[in-house]
Amino acid sequence: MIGSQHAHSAIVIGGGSTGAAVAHDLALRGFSVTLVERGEIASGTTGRNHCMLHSGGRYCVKDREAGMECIEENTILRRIMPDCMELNGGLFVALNDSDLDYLPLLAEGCQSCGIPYHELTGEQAHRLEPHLSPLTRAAIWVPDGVFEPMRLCMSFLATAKANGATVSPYTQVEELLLEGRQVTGVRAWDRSADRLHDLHAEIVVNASGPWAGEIAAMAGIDVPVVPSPGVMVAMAGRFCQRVLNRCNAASDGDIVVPQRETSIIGTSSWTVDDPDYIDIPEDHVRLLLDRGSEMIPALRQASPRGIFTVARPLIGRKKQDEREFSRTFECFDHARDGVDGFVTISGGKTTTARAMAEKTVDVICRKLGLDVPCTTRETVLLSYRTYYAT
Amino acid sequence: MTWTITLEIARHKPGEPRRTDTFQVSIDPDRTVLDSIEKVWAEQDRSLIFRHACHHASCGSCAMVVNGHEVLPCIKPIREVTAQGGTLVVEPLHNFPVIGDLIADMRPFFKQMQLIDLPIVGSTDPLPGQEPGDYSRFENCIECGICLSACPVVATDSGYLGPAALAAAQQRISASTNGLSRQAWEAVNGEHGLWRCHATFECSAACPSNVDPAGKIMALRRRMTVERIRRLLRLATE
Repeated sequence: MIGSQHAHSAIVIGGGSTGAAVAHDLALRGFSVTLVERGEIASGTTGRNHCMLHSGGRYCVKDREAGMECIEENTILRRIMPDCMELNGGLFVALNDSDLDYLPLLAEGCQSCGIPYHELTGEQAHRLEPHLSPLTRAAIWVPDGVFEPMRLCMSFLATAKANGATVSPYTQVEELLLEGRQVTGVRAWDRSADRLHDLHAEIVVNASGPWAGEIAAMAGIDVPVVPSPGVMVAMAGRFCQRVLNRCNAASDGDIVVPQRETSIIGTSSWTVDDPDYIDIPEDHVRLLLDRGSEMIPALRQASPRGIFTVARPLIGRKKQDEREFSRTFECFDHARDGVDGFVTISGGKTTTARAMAEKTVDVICRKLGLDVPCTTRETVLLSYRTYYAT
Repeated sequence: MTWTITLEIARHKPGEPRRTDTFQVSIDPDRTVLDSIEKVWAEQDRSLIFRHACHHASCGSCAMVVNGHEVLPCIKPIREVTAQGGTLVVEPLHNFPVIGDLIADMRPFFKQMQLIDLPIVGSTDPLPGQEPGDYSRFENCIECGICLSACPVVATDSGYLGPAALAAAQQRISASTNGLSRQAWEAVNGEHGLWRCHATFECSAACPSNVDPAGKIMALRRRMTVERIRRLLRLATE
C-alpha cells in the first residue's frame, strides 16, 4: 500500500542493500523515487558480502549499539523476508583458554543487547556440528542466519517498483546538479544506451557505500567513509548448518558461514583508496584457510570454489585501526555542510539496511516538513523473482 | 605470477551494430574470468556492462559464454580456460534477448520461474553424524540461465518452458503435496512443456550447480506417464 500521496521526489544513488531499502521506504511513504545504480543491482559491496544475517553476537561485546541494531533488524527481516533465508542459527565456538575467557564477556554482551543465547558444552556443540574441531571446549548459540544478498536487494526493489519506484541499473552518476548550494538532481550516464541525461528531484540520497566519498565530493563535501576491504573464501561443500564464529574478539578468519553447498570463510580487513578494483592478497587467503580450519579441520581437505573481496564502507577517518571502527551507520544531512537537498547514508551492514533506510527517510521527511510514519517493519516484501518478472 | 591475456568481448548498444572489442589484461592466472572482465571495466572501458554480484556461484547473475561454453565466470580461474598469452572470447548467454554487451534480459526467464514458484529455501538433511534437526538451505538452482543457453530446444522454440522451470516443477511436485498451480500444470504439460525436451542432456552438462535439469525432466515424464497408464487401466476396468 502506498502511503499518503504527496508531490515529493527523491533520487537514490546506489543499488546495494542500503539504496534498495531506502528506495523501498521512500516509495512506501509516497515519494516519487528513482534509483540509479552504475552496475547491476548488488554488484558492489552488498553482493560480495558474507551472506550473514547477524544476531549481533559479533558486536555486542565492544559495540553495544551495533549489537542491538543487529538483533532488532534480524527479528524484523525474518518477518518481512521469510522465504529468502537459511535460518539455522549460529554458534560462537571456544577452542582454547583465551576463547574460554571471552565466553562470559560474550554472554554478558548478548544479555545486555537482548540477543537470545544459550551456552553449550563442547560435547553438545559437537553433536550439533560434527565437523567442529575435537578441541571445542564450549560454545554459545545465537540466532544468526544466512541470506542471499542479491535476492535480498531484489526483494526490496521488487516491492519498491510495485509501489511506483523506477529502478535504473547501468546508470552512473557523473555529477550532482546544483543550483547555488542546493542539490537539484544528478547528471547520469546510461551505460547501456551510452547517453547522458539529467534527472531532477528535491532530495538526492547518496547510498553508494564505499563510493560515498566520491559522490559527496561532487558537491564539495567530505564524508568520513573509509573503503575497507575484506577477503572471503567460499569452500566447496557444506561443513556446518549453523554460522560458526570464533568465540573471541573479532579477527581475521574468525567465521565460517554455510550457504547452499559452500562454506564461506571470512574475513580480513584493511583499507584502500580506490574500491573499484581490489587485488586479493595471497597471504590473506592462506590466513583465512589456516584460521577457518582451526574451527573446522575438514576445510583443509576442501577446495576453494570462489575467492573474492570487496570494500565495506566504514564510518571513520583513515589512520584509525579499521577493526576499531564501529559497524553502526550514520546519516549525514549535508545541510550541516551548507548544501541542501542532499543526504548521505553510510556505514552499517546489510542486516541493518532497513533501519538505515528508516533513519534516512525520517531525516528527509523532517527536512520537507512531512509527517508520514515508516511502515517497513510490518510490510512483508514481494518475492525477489518479481523484480525481473514485472 | 602475472599472465597477459586477450579478452575478445561481444559489445552491443541499442541501435548500433554488434561488434567485438579486444582488450589486453595483465592478471594473476589464479584469479577468475570475472575478475579479468571487472579489471577491463575498471582500467580500460567504463562503458562495458555485465552482471555480477556474489562472486562465489550463489547469485547466478554473472553467467555468460566463454570460449563457446556456458560458465559462471566468478568461479572459473583464468588458468583453467586459457594459457599465458591466450585469448578468451566472451559473449552473453545464448537464447536470451540482449540488453547490452554481456547482459542477457532475464525477464522472460524469471516469469517462467515465478510461474512454477518453487520456494528458494527448502529443508535439508542433517550432515553425516549430525543431530537430527529441522535444517533449511537454499536450493541448488541459482537461476543463472545457463541451462537455457545450452538447450537446443530453447534455441528453436522461444515458448519452451525450459530446463530450469521444468526441473523446479519436478522438485516442487516431489518435495511436497503442495503441488503446482493449475496454470503451471498447463504450462508443464502443454505443447511447450516437458514433452518438448529432446533429451540431449546439454542442460545437465552445463549446469554449474548440480541441479541435473534433464534428469528431473525425465523423472517428471515418468511420473506423468505412469499416471496416464493408471488412468487408462482405471477406465478399462470401469
